Amino acid sequence: MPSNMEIRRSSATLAPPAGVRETPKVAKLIDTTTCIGCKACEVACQEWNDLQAEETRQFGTYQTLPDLTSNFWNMIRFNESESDGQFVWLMRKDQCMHCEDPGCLKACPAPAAIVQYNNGIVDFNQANCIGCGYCISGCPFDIPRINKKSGKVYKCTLCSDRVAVGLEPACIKACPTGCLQFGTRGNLLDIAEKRVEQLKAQGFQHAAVYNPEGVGGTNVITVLAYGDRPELYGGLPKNPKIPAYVGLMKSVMKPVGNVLMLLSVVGAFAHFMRFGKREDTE
Amino acid sequence: MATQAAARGAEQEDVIEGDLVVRHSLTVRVAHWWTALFFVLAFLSGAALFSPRFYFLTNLFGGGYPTRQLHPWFSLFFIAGLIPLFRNWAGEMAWTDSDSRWMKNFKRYMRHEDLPEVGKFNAGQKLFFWAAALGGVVLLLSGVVMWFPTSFPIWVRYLAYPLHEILFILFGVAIVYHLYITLFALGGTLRAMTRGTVTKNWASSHHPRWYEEVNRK
Repeated sequence: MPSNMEIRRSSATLAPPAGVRETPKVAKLIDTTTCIGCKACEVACQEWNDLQAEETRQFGTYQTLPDLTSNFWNMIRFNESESDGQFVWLMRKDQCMHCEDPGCLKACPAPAAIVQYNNGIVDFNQANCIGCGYCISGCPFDIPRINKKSGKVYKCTLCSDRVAVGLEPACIKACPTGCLQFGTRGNLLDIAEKRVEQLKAQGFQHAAVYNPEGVGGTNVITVLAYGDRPELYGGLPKNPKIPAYVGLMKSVMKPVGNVLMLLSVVGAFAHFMRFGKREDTE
Repeated sequence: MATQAAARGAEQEDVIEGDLVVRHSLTVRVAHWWTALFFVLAFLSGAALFSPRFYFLTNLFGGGYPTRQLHPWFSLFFIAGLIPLFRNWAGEMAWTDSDSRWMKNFKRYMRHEDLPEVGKFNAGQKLFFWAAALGGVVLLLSGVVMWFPTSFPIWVRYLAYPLHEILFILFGVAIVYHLYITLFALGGTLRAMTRGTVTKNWASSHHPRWYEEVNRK
C-alpha cells in the first residue's frame, strides 16, 4: 500500500485521519456491453501484482476459475441466460467494488488494516491484518479472500501503487476494447449515463448504471444492459447493503458494552464504599 | 497441622475437619483455577479484538495476529475447565423455592444481612453457575463459526458475530462481580477456593442450611 496517498478512513482507529487535502475521487468504469471476455485484464492484474498463477480447470465455461482467490483478484464471470426468449451471454469483470461505505473496513477490528484513501480506493494493509476474516463476512459482494500460507486477506487494490504515481490500473491499460476506463468519478458517471442512453436507444430498455446506494455508491461503476436483473451477471446483488450486524456491533454493542463493563466496576466500588467488607470472625 | 494438610488435600466435601468445614475438593479447586486462568487469557485477548480501545492488549500476546491465533485456544481450554465444574456442581445448583425467596431478599443480601435459608450455594451463585454454563455453550458455538468463518454459511456468521459479542459483554459484567464479591465484599470467602475450607463461623452465617447438613453427617 502506497504511503503518498492520504487516508480518509481507517479501520478500528479512534483518532481522526490526518489527511486535509481535497483530492479528486477516482473510479473505474466497467462497460459489460463492450467486454469481449478476452481476459487481458486478468493477465495484467496477475502480472502487475506479481500474483502466482492459480491452476485452471475446465468446468464447462470460459470462466478462468470458479471463484476469486487470494491470488486472483479480478475475474471475468461468464454467464449464460435468456432475455425475451433470446439467448444472452453475459460477461462481467468481478472484483472489489471499492465501496464509498466499505463493509470490510467497518467490520475490521485491526487498526489500519483496511484504509480508504481520499480518492476513494479501499486498500488492505497486510502488515496490520490479523487474519480474523471479519472483512469477508462484512463485504456485501463476497470479495476478500484469505490466503492459507500467510493467513491474511487480499483483494483488488485498484492498483493503488500505480494510481499513487499517476498511472492507471493495470487492467485498464490492458483492455483492448475500451470497455474499461479510469478517471475521476464524476466524469465516469457521466460517461456511464451516456452509454446507458445509447443502450436504451438500441432497445435495451432496462440498461442501467450499477452504482448501488446501499453502500454509498461504488467506485467501480458498472454498466449493465440488463440493469433490472444484476443477479444475472454472476450473482451481482440487486440491493447490496452492509450486513446489519456490522453497524449494530460498531455503533451500539461496542460503546454500550464498554459503558456497561465500566458501570459494573463503578457499581462494585459504590457498594464497597457504602457497605464495605463483611467480616467473619475466624 | 496434620488436620490442616488433610483438609487441604480433601476430596470429600461437606465434612468437618477440626475447626474447619471442607467446601471445595482439591479437584474442584484445580479445575476452578484452570478455568479462571484461561478465562482471563481468553477475555483479555477477546477484549483486544472487541474494541479499538482495548487493542493495546494485543501487546500481551505478541501482536494482533498472534492474539487472533491464540484466542480460540485459550477459549477451548477455558471451556474444557467448565466441563468438570459443571459435572461437579450441576446437581447442587437445582433451583428451589427458597432460592426464589432469596431473590426477593436480594436487598438484604446486598446489605450483608444473614439470610436464614441458604444451602451450600445461594441463589446468586446458582444463577451465575447456569449463566456461565449456558453462556459457555453459546460462546463455544459462535466462536467456532468465527474461528473458521468461511466454512459456515453467511447467515450463520451473521448470527455468530453479534451473539459472541453480547456474551462477551455479559461475561465482562459478571466477572467484575464474581471477583468483587470474593476479593472485596465477603471476608472469608476466597479461602474456600484457595485452601478449600471455610471456618465454622463463616459456614453458619453465610450458608446456615449447608452447615446444619454438614453437622448432621
